[in-house]
Formats: sequence, structure tokens, C-alpha cells
Amino acid sequence: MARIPIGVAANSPDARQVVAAVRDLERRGINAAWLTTGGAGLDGLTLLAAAAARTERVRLGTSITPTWPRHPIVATQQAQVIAQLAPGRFRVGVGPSHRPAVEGIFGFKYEAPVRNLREYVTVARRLLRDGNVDFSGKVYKAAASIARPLPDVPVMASALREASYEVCGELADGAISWVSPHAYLRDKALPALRAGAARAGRPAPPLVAHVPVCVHGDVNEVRAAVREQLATYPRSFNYQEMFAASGHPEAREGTWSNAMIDAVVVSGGEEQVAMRLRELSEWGFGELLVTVVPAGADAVGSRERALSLLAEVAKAR
Amino acid sequence: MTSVTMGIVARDTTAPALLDAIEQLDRRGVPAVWLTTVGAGVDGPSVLAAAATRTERIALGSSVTPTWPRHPIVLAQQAQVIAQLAPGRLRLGIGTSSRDSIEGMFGVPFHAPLANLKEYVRVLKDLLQRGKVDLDGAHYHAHATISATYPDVPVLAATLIAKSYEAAGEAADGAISWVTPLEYIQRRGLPALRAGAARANRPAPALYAHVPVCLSTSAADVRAAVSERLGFYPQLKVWRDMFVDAGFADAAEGKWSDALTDGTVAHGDEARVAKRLQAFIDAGAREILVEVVAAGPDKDKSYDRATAFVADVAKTALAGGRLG
Repeated sequence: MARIPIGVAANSPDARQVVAAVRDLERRGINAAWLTTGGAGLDGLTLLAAAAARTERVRLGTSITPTWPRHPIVATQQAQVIAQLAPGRFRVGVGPSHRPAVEGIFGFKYEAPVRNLREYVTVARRLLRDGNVDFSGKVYKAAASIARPLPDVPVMASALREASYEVCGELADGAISWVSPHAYLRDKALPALRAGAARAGRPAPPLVAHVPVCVHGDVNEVRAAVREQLATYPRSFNYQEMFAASGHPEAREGTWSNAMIDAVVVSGGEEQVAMRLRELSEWGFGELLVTVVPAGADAVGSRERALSLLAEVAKAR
Repeated sequence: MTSVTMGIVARDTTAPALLDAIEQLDRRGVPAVWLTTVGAGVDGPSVLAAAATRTERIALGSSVTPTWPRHPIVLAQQAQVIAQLAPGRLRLGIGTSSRDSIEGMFGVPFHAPLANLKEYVRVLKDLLQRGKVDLDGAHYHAHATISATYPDVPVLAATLIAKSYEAAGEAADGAISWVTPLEYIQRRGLPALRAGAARANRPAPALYAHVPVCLSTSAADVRAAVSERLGFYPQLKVWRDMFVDAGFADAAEGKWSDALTDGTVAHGDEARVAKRLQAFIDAGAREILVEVVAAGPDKDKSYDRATAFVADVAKTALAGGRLG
């Protein structure tokens, strides 16, 4: 089978637990730890700086850091810290997030998110790779240089619809999906990513395919866990439209249908999940990013079960 | 936190070097370290988060993080990480930086900086200390709640001219001065800080005096080191005006002077420096942030001497004794 890395989302509302979780993933031999920054909670980049100081091998990434609330130079200032403490291990993922958070919490006008992303990635990538940037766009202006360029820090971006995959193909070092049907990633996302890259005359960057994983035999408990833990997505306009485009217009009702769960979540017993992950790793994605969905009465045990299996899959190649 | 009276501002251009320096200060018993976020260089709060995982005692401060390039909720998101990793050890200093840097580098319009400062402080204090912010201001909109609160994280504001002390008095938990003659702090800064606090009907916040310290008895070495490090300040209009207002008429021509060295820098041997720093405390400063100005041919040795001095006098101060 194709050897593609497996990373795991390590989020927790407790900073000490996040650092411990990243160390735990490293000890297990998982390839990467990812952190999302949402709402007004813990900042993922700052957490990764702490995790970088306490780990040796595991790759670290954000999936994602929202663009609007911090100037792209600030993101590179944070990136410098992590990359210097964890050389060759860090990838920064950025994204425009969603209208309710950007407007409701931070009070920025959520307009032209693709343009925002395009400018943000351009500024951050130039400053990190070339060591200097002189950019004047519609959203951002930036004139800065840094003493030590960091060409080994990929600047990746979140993508949901085809337009954002095209932008990623055109100018980012990778695309990171989130809660999308696997078939949509294969049939819509990858072609859009490749088309964007071809238009820019560059090789297509990797697609980090986000996959919720639930190692649990009872399908009803799996569905209950998904509906509870991933409840927010079918309620979000951007995700509803993506689901509709992938043949699930029922997402507009605001809940997970069984078909949506089957299309997005990898679940079942160990063998079944391992087989599906192996299958997915041959679809042309660069990497899998797993959100563990614990199910049943014993959440801790369920998470442990999933992490053990993921470590096995990550190592057995 | 009231027992902490001395700390060192760590300076280096890379995160690993800063992290090493902070671990060393912690080992030597220096009670506090402070980091400045400069230009497009390494982010201070991120380094503090890394340092939080490698130290046990030392207090961690930002002095300062510029306001404009990041929404205050973002800094609060960073502060939550540091405060959770280092409970009771974080002090969060922010400042409006300068027009040149903000407009030139980040392309963000530098307007109404005092209003910007006050709104920024308010968002940080409401969200971190009370767990909830609801602000629709001239500079920021912020509507958020968090589950934990951090009432022990003071939010400090960088101050320079009297009006900024007033703003800090109105809104912040403390004011951080920088390269400011003691006479100016006494005659302009502290009265303005108290006036701002009185107007807002709150107790006057503490002064954190950030003071350049040059441990050397060679007048020539002190002059060379200080003018190299601080000599450009009279070229900046706000500093020049402040120096002139403080009675240093020479500064009007944009030049540093020996009088400015004596007015702003604690220099000489340990006893003399301690005495000078004690004068800041006598004037009302709660804490001293030592900016080490290394002098002489061996800069590392000079830095070590300053570190040993701070560790030593900090013990005296913590025990309630006078520095000099």
C-alpha cells in the first residue's frame, strides 16, 4: 500500500492535556499532531510552541488558525518560534473560518474569504520562505523581513469548496480538508487542487484528508457519538453547501443523516477501520488527519482503542 | 505577585536562545523574565508558552506585545495557554508601538492610539479576568465567553508620555515605563496615572519601571554601551518631546547626552545601581524590569554580572529590605 502519514487532532480545553496528548502521540509513533483554534479558546500556535519544547520527533501543525483576527506577519512570528524549536517538524495551516465566528466574536466583516486566504497565504509564505515580503493587497499590506528565513515551513490552507482547493493548488503548500465525504475529496477536491496547481505551472501540493475515526462495533452508538460530537457542522452554512454539492442536500436540515455519517466517518471494529484507512491512503491524498470520535459509555477506553489502532496503522507499512 | 520586585528583559533573536536564557534565569533565582515582541521577529507570548513548560518558578511577562496586528481576543487566547501552563506566573503587557512600525510594516492605520490601548486592555481584562467580553468600540468589536477565568493575570500597558499614564490609570492593572528619567516619572507619569485612576473611580495601578542597567565603573565603557543601545531615542519625536519636558534640553537636537545617561540609566558598581533602582521603588514603582546594557569588551561577562546582581538584590527586596 501507499505509505502516507497519519496525524491526529490533539485538541483539549486544557493546555496541559494538549501538551500531554502531543507527547503521547509522539510516544505511540503517530506521525503528526494537529490543533484547531476555535472561538475565543486556547490558541493552537501558542500550544504548539509549548509542545515543540517538549517533543522530539512528532510533526506539529495547525488545522487551522483563523486568518482574520491576526495579521499574517503575526502568524509568521509565531511560526518562527515553533519552527526554531522544532526544526523540520512544523506546518502552519490557515483558513478564513466561518462567518458566525469571524463577525460575531471578532467583529470583522466576512467578505471575499477566498481573496482573504489568497493574500494571507501569499504574505506568510513569502516572509517565511524568502525572508522578506513587500506586499500591498486589497486586504493586507506587509513590508517586513526576518533574519532567518524558514523555507522548510509549509504554509497550508483549509479548503472546503472547489474554489478554495484551487487556491491551495495555485499558491499554498497543501490543502487541509475538514468533515467532508471521502468521495467528495477524491472526485471534487483533488481535481480542483490539481487544476489550480496546473494553472500556476507547479506540482500539486498534498491534500491532508481529514477523517473522523470511531473504533466501535455498535453502529447506533457510533451514530449517536457523531451526532453529538460533530453536531456543529450540519448547522453551518458553508458545510451545508459542501454536503449538498456532494449529494447530501439533507444536510440543510441541520443534522447528520446516516448516509452523511457513512460518507464521512470511518467506523467499525479494528479490522474494518484499518482496511478502510488503507483504502483511503491509496486515493491520492498526501496524509490523513484523524479526529478520534469516542463512542459508547467508556469514552476514555474508546479513545485509547482508536489511538492504539491508529498507531498500528501508522507503523505497519 | 506583589512580592516580585525585580526581573530581567531577555533579548535574543531566536526562540531556542531565549528559551535557554529563561531557563538559566530561573535556575539562578531571578524572579521574573520579560519578553518584547519586536517587528516581524519571534513572537514573545509563544516563547513564554514554551518557557512555561520548562520552568517552575520564574514569572513570565510580555513587555510588550504590540496591539494593532492582532485582535485582543487572539492575545487572550495566547494568554490562556500560558496561564494554564504556568498558573499565577503570567503578566501580560501590551503597547501601541510606533506609527512607523505599525503603518510601515503591517499597513494598519495608526490612529487614536490611546483609545486603541484602552479598548485593547478592556477586552483582555473582561475576557481573561471575568470570562466574558461584550464590546462594540471604535477600534474593536469583541463578543465572547470562556469557561475558566484568570483573575491573577494582570494586564499592563506601556506608557511614555503623561497622557498614556492617564490611559493606563483609567484602564490597566499597571503601567510599564521605558527609558524614562525618574524625574519625569515622578513629576508627570505617576500624577497622571493617579489622575486617570481617580477619573475612572478605581485605585491607581502599579508602576513597572523598565530601567536600563549598566554595571560598569568605566565612564567610557558606559558611555559607549549606552549610546549604542539607546542613542537613537532622541531622534524619535515622542521621546524627544518627553526628554525635553523632563528637563533635558539637549535632547531637542536629537542627540543623546551624558545627562540623559545619568537620568535614565542605572549605572556604576552594584551598590550605586542598587541605590538608583531603590529610588524608582521609593518613587512608587512596584517592580523593576532590568534592561541589561552590557558594557566593556566582554559582553557575556557583563551580562552575567548583571544577572547575578538581579538575583542577589531580588532576594533582598523579597525579604523586604532596601536595595541600596
